[in-house]
Amino acid sequence: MSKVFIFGIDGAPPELIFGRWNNELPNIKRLMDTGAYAKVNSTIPPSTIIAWNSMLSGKDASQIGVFSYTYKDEDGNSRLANSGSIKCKLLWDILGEQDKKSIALYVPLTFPVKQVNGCMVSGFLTPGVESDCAYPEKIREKIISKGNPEIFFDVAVGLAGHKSLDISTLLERTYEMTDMQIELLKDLLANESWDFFISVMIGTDRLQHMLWRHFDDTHRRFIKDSPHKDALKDYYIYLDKKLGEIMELLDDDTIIIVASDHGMFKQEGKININNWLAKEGYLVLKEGIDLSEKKRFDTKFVDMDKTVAYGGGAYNARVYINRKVVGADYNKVKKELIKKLENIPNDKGKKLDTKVYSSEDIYKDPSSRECPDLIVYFDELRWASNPDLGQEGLYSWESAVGADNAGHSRQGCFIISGKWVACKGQIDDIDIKQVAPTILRLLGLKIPDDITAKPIEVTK
Amino acid sequence: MEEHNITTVSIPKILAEKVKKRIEGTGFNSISSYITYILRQIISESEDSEKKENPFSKEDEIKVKERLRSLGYLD
Repeated sequence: MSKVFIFGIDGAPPELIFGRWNNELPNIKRLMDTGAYAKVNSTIPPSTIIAWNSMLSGKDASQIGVFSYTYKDEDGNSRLANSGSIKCKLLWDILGEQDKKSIALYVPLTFPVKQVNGCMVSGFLTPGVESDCAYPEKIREKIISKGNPEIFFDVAVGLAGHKSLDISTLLERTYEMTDMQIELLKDLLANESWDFFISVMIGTDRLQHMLWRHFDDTHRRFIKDSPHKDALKDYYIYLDKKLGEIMELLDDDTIIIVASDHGMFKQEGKININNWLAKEGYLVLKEGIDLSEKKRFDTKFVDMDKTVAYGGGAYNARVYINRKVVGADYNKVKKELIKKLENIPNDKGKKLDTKVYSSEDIYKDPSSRECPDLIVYFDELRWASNPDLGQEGLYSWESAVGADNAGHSRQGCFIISGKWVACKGQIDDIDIKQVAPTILRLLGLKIPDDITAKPIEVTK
Repeated sequence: MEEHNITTVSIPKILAEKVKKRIEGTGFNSISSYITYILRQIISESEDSEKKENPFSKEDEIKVKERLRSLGYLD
């Protein structure tokens, strides 16, 4: 019986992994040469917390029940998404029902951890080492014993936040975090029994958001001759070396998957979605809202008796249509909005390659009140969305907070290698939902009827 | 579960027989593994429902939101 090990690299783009830096990543290259690889179409939207959970459940965002990092509770307060927000079964739930053991490390949206059949250490939304971050309990002691548990789960800690870190400190922290995470990974890999193992490295995402303009000479704000121009590539080379060390610990029966949840590319700028909706007459703010200074958008500012639509979303835009106001004209308004959103040009008046998705067309269960009516990829996500109020005009560049060098792109990586894997070389693009049924089949388990995505044909 | 961490509990023989029948043809290869699974589910569910109400303390919620904001992930 085979085992499956996934080395997750958050936000690793195929353009860098399969292309530009491939020759400098010998272990990744070896897996590609001995197995099969494909570009992965991520979830809509390609958000870290949604995409990993789609990969691990075979479900879309609406079936998972998560559309962004926050949701409104019964009282209208903004709350953080957490493991309890997930409505569907994940691989470790399905495996546990069939007496198979899983080890899941640092997977986004696993805080607070569940008592799985195996081990679990939560991902980057973990508040700290004293919280419900590890199961079984003995693993917490292992984390505390590492050099700097404060940054074990994420580098973006402290009041200064991610963007305020200088690049050298960010790099130092990222290597320190990854070293600690990999040390624990190797410990559990060797000392615990498992059938399925997944570990997600978040460092790549953290560095890419900040370092993109240091190496991409087509970036609007490219820094020529930056001392950090090779820093991201060097981190990938380091991760590849660590992957090689892990591969040494795996037996011949283990199938290795290297995967990312989405890709990444340079960010051109941000489109001020609520400014646009207000200018077009769709959004009406309550009287007395002071727009002389920038403020974060909140639905409490919106006059819900007059507003047709309002927006959210940090990379993609989410547009919510106010059914109370539009009534029977819902479809007409939606159609009109799609057309207009697709025609928003860039700051130089050039047409953008914008895609607008209607939730009814892309989701199996669009009934949740958190489900947006429209999801907008401005210029295929090269332009982000900025819902803030008090911005001048339609475009913004650097925001006061928030890394904005690069944004999430819609395709990630998938590499699979092992003695049971028969297909070789690059295969057709896959959907991220196909990964879970593929793993179930590799483990010799029945695929539950509610997973409708087809497994990738990889075995002999 | 590692072997040195295992303990023994007693259940009525008649119940053990029923469990044995129930796990026939499933992935469970012993009565113990099935009972461990059931107990883990029950304990996890009751603990999870307590946590589900409020997994983040007020202070933690502010801290994590601040972290997400600095990453540009919060809208």
